Amino acid sequence: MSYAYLFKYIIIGDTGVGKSCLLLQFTDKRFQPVHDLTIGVEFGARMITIDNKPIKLQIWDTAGQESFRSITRSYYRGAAGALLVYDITRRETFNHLASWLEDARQHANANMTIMLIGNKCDLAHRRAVSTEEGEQFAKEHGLIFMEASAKTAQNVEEAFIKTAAAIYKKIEDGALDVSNESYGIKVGYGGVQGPPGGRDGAPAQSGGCCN
Amino acid sequence: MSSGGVEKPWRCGKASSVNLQRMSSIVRDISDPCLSQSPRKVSRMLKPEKWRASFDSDGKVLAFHKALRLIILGGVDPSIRPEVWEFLLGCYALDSTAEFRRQLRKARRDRYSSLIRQCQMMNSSVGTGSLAYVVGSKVLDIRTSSKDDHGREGKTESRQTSIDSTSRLDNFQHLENDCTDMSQSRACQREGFIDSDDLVSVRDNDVGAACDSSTLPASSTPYTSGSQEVGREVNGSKSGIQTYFDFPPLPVTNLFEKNEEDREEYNEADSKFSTHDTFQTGDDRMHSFRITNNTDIVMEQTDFPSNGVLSPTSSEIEMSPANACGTVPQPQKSASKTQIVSSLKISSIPESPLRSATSSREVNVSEERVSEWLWTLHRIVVDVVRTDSHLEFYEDSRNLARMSDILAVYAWVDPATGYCQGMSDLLSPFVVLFEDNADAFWCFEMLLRRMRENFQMEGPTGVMNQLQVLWHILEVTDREMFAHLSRIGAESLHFAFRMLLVLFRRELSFNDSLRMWEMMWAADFDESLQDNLEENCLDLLVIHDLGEFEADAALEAINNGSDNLEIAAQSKHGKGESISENGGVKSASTRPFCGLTKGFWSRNDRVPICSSPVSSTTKGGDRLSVFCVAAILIINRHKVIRETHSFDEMIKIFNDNMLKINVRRCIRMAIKLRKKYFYKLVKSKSAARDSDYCDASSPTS
Repeated sequence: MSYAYLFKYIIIGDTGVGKSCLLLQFTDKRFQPVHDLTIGVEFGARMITIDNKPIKLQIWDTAGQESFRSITRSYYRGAAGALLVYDITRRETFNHLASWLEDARQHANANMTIMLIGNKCDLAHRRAVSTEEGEQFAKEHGLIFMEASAKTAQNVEEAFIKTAAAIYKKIEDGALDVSNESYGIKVGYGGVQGPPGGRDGAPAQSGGCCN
Repeated sequence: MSSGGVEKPWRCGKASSVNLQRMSSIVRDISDPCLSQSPRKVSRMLKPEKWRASFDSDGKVLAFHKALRLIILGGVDPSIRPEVWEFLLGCYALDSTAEFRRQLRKARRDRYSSLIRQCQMMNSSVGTGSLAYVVGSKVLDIRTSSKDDHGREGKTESRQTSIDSTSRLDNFQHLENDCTDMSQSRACQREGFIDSDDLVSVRDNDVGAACDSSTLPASSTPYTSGSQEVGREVNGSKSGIQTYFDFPPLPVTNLFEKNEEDREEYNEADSKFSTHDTFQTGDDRMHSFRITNNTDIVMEQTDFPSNGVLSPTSSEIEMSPANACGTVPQPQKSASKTQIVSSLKISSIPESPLRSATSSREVNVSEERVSEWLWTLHRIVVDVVRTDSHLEFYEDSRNLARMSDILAVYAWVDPATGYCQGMSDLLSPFVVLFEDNADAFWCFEMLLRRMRENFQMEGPTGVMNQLQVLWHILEVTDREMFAHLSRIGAESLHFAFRMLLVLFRRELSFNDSLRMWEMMWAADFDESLQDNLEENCLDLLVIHDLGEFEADAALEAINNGSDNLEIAAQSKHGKGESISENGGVKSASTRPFCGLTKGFWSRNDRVPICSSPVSSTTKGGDRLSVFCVAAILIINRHKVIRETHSFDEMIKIFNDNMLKINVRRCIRMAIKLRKKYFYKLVKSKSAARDSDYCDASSPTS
């Protein structure tokens, strides 16, 4: 349970792109072809190691349908990383990325690390969005990019971990204020210096975000 | 202990056929002994004998209160669940005769099948037992593994009947197939036909067709292949922007809410690329890639082949919005109007909403609705396969199709609400319980009358209101819990969102949730039943007589139409604020717990006016479900207080079903809490502070 840092993630993207499946694959290492609709927000967590430090990822999995956005928006703040997911076999999920991004930029803190994931890359034969397009979009918007498959687990770990690594680097570089929990980072007791304000104060920010 | 293996018993006969008698007998077999934790209490439920005994010779229910009491104690015996539910939900008045109910049921079934026929005209797979593959392989994405999707898809295509819209649809499928198969060089042109974009394109297409048919002789229905061709041709040239403003309620469009900004972005993008040429080049990918949001998708079509058809297009554009609703380009407003117009239309002309080419206005509206509905249908199908997928019952795709059909019909008759995630969770039990889709539909519809505001486009404001009420309930009734939640920053109570939206479907096993439902309904029926319920039901009787003369009802709807239209249009788009404003005005005219207002069609017209405001202001708060959440918190007090130190943990503990939820205990506690709450409210007349809560208390006081 001890960790050096706790990073909060949020997974966003259109409905049906596989957000919950990615999370499940990451936390439970299994794939559920038919995952029940996510209503509101769900939650998952897993420990990873970066630079030999134990890091806990706490991941909010949001509902993709726009009518739940009033809820999901409140989770942007207080997230250090976002996984923005689209489905490579459904072009519209790619086309909607910009709006998701805008939503994130508007409601998240500016330093949030965003990983763009083109999910379902196992379904290459039905591909409707090319890898290059994904790459280019990511490049244009300053995102990290990966294609992944929650089904085959390809790149799933990598996506989560790479995001964490990027966040970690920002911390190392001093670009993120770890004492400010609204950045979605908590300093734990497991393995790093006695943090400033590493108290158990998570509620402060989550409360703040929920109207 | 809640979910887990309890679903197992549902593997009834591989569910290969929808044999509901069998279903329910199995349900009965399994649910009594295995599900109730305390066998001795099993007897305390509404049993068939008691139920039968509560009817008089005409079939009127005499002692419903006794029945209610039993239900509150332990639910309904599964063998009589469907019929009891119909009463609990208010489908029938208690003093309706058996004969009347028989007729009514028949009328409802007829109505339902006519609705199905309407929907079939738009998508031929509705009502056929196979899922409507609006956009072909899309569903495959989700349910990759099992099922003969390809087969079905093929079927859909081969089912190219003479129904016009079908061929149009299939066209999209072809296009789409092309698209996936081929290189993307032509992507831009076809892109619009893919998935949700196709929504836009469908719309464009529709508008094209609509405009055409309004310009062309009236004989051309929007769906004749002729106009279809024209539509397709013109498709690209249709005014992206203008039509965009025509279609705001679209899920896709709505997604982005900030229409003004969208527009700016469009301009920006436009200037960025500066010429239409950019769009017209073969480098579609680049283009689509640059797309910043939905508007752009529309825009794309605007810009694309605008060469030849430019001038007629623009003129049409100008008239089309004006025709449709005479609106300024203010998305939400025009949207709501459109919806209202449409609903009005279907109510007044139920049989031929698509053919009424008498005026261009009607065509237009109808076209928009159709395309919106088609998109909705797509979303429905995508979600239906992800609903209760652990039940073997739904391994039979025909049962999925039943669910999808009902949702599709609902979205068609209630365009203001349409379809929203969570509805399928609510519908699923009805599909399991009722053999006839029409019966399931009607129960579902009755349920939604209480919950419709949870599913409005602008976000689940209904649930949000309930969460606020819940917060207040905790404050008034349980300071300790209140303090704890405040301390950990869980004031938003979002952890309870799912419970309230899908009524504990996710927290409880299938059977437990059914029990929970009926107990809650019974308690609401009982507790909040006004003395004049009987009168209301008498009204209902009269009303449903009306319902039997559909022509009259339709006429009435037409006569009332314009008023409804205006009022509804006002109340619709304002969402939160206007809802409460209108609430005061209209609540008096509705009957909360019967939920039964005039005939079905006019009811639907009034939905935006009456039912949502009522429920969001006065009804949401005193519903037992809210108290059930409070009860669950309080029953699990120790765990909650000891184990949650943050809001995150609170969410986790709720989502992972780590709380004990004993249905009976929960209901008992909730009823107690409700009494306590209102007692305290009344006592401390401090309600003036908060008008919302004040409203909430009034019905019972």
